Amino acid sequence: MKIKKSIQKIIVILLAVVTMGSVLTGCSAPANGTIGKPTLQKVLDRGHLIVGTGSTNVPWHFKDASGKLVGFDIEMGKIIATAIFGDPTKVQFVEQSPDARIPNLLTDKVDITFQFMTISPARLQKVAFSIPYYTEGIGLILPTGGKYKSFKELEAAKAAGKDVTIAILQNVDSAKSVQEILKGAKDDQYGDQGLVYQAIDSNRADAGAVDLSSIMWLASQQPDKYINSGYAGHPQNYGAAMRTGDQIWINFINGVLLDSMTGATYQLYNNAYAKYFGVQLPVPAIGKPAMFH
Amino acid sequence: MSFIDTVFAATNSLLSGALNTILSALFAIIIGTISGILLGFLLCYANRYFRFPVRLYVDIIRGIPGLVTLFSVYFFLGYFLQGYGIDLSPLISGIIALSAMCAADVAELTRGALQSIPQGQTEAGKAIGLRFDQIFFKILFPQAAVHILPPWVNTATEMVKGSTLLSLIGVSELLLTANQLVATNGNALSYYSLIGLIFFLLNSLIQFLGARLEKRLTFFTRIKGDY
Repeated sequence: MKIKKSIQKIIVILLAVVTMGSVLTGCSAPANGTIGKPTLQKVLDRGHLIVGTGSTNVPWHFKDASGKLVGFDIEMGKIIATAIFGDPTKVQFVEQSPDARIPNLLTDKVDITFQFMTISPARLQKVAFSIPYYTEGIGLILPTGGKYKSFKELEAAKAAGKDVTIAILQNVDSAKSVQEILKGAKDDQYGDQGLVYQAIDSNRADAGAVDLSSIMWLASQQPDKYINSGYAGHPQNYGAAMRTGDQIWINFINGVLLDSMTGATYQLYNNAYAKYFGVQLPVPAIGKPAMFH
Repeated sequence: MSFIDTVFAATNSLLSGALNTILSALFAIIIGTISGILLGFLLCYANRYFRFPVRLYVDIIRGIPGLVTLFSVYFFLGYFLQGYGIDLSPLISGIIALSAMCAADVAELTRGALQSIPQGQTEAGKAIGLRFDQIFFKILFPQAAVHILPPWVNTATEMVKGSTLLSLIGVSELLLTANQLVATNGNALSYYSLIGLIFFLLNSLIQFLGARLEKRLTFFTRIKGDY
């Protein structure tokens, strides 16, 4: 009996030591693991790129009729894969919700995130951003059969003391954005852009503050359901997010994106732009580089 | 395209969404039930050195929101294991988190059911010379199982519903599939109603099977005169 008790005590002490050990070392991963390697090297060793993106936002990242992930962000991922492997198919897309964009990067689940991510000072303290690959504006989408038909009517209603609710995607500065659009309006924040549309469909909100690119797409696809209020503002740059501290990777991504927008690989970017925004961009001018015009 | 047309066009996506929902819930229920019964057994019969960590586990998991458990598994356990070359996919992380929640619930159900059986039955078993395993498997567990079953059906349906949390870590289960379809086609209310109906049918099936099983178990215990 005494021996049994001593064995039990030893087991408990051993368990305690192991637990304390894991806690004190912060449950850190072994230093010789894959985490410490430069990302570009890791991607090359792995043989494919891992891109974090979403699946619920037109025209950025969404499923087409056949269930395939498509969109402008997806094309950006393919441009990077082409630059690394010469093959746009060497890329795996990890679908993530907007609030998983930074955690998935920090926990090494993805190499890079292309998910209509706004470059903001607050975010820059946590992750590194590439140069912008698109400058988005916020617009206001209205239900076709709703109370208001234009932004002017919304402004007039607010001025007349009526309550106006604007649904918006949860973001660092969503509340601030709503105030900039229409001072005094109530902001309802949702975790998914689909829910913003749901909010206006079900009359929970009078208008939805979403990307102008999405509004233009939806208003043209479903004019019986949605109209563009005519408001456009709040420019914001979309960039690819990466882990901080890996300058080789950040420089590489910047170089590839810059070249695809202004240099030899311009067709990749221009084709994607034409496909998802319906606008054919001009061929970059010869002479002084396009970005310094 | 009308709503019905878009549903037909998206049959494959919806089927794969339903498959992910069913897979994650089914594995969570199986793994959670087996480990939950083991943990419940430990809660009742193990010495305090084993009982304490199990009690701690059950209380912590039952005391925190499912979403926190899910994020802990996906982000922290995933990050930790990544260092050892193990890649936890979102689906596997989701199954682990749901199983952990199911196990904690089932452990409590098992403990409650076992402890509700009068002590006299164990003593009677001992008196006629039965070993502990015989007492447990022939006397205690068959009775406990009858008590566990109705709340277990409840836990199982909670798992099916809880699988929607997995959409937040990018598992294309029914809810995320619906969100994807809403993003492309609008019609949010119709899609959410459709997946609501699928969830209702899945859970009705579980309740139906649970009721059948309950009938069977109580039938046997009645025949044996134990209940």
